[in-house]
Amino acid sequence: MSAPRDPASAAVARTLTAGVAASLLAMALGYVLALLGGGPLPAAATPLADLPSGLGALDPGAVMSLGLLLLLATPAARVAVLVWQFARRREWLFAAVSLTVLGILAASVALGRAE
Amino acid sequence: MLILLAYVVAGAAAGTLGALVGLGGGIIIVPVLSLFLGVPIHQAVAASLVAVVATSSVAAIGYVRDEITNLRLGMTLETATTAGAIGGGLLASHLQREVLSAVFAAFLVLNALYLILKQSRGERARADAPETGALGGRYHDAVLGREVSYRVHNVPLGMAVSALAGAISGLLGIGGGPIKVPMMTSAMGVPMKAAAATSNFMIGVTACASAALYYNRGLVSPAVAVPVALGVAAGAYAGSRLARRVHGAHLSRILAAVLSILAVQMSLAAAGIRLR
Repeated sequence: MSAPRDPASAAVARTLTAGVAASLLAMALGYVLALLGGGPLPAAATPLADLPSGLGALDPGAVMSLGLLLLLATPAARVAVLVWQFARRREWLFAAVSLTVLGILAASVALGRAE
Repeated sequence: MLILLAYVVAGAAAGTLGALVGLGGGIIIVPVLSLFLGVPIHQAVAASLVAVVATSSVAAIGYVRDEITNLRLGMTLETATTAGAIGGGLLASHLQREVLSAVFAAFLVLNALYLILKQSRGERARADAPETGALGGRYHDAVLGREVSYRVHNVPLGMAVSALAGAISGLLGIGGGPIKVPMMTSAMGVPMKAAAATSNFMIGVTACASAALYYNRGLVSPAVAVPVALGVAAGAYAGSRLARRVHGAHLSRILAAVLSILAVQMSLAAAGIRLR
């Protein structure tokens, strides 16, 4: 695997690697914490509002939920990276296209909250 | 405790098989979770979407770094797949378990056919495009030992089919590669390698759009989704390593048979009959 010549490809690959690594780490840590605790694994994801307090207490469910959220945020992050990369190269059409995708992702989060 | 191990194993098997034959794991994860491990189908779909984001992201790192993925084409079609995925995700909550199982069974048959047909239809050699246009691309093909360049055709058709693929993804918790890859190779003029890599690239964002809906509905269960995602990530990695040593054609036929059996069981489950 050689380093890509295209800086956009390199930036996307870096973003995906960091996102996947962070999320897998959090998920694995939460999983181990849950197994060590001996209790049943959490059946429902921790709501966003309760996440900080749960993480502070090293609650296995909160750590696993953080891992899940980091994983779901990874594709969104790479779309944001592409908005920036295209804009930097003045490829306005593709910057706008990427921004549209980011907008649709934001809409899905908003729709989910409104449901 | 045993069930947790079963989730990891199911994820790992789906990830490995998926990477070996070029399917996301979702098509295997949903039926295995819902038929054999007693997970309600809506939760199985949610766990599968998380797994799809994991496989797509892991596999995309390599494809993007090798510059086989067409970023511009991927982003363009993603506007359609993500919008479709929200539609599919919204629709899923209004469908009963039985209806969802029946739709899934039909899609399993389609996937089995795809695996069989893919064998018989080799990639047509195409003249290299000197001018790639705004959406076209070029990449170095290691097998051919040269640079391949192509133009992209039929973008409106591609957008329409992508929206449909996105809706099915949001509804059934799968990636939808068997819809997008043939569309790109046969209608849009994209070479197989670039089509597969670009489809994989799009799948993560598509699944992300509907997964947000499932997460807010409380359907993403850490107890199910985390072991499956960990298993699938490990499996996808192992599968991509094994792929060079395993003969894909035989495996595709075996997997087609497995998918057909799962389709029968899913149909029976839809009709309220449960076999083990």
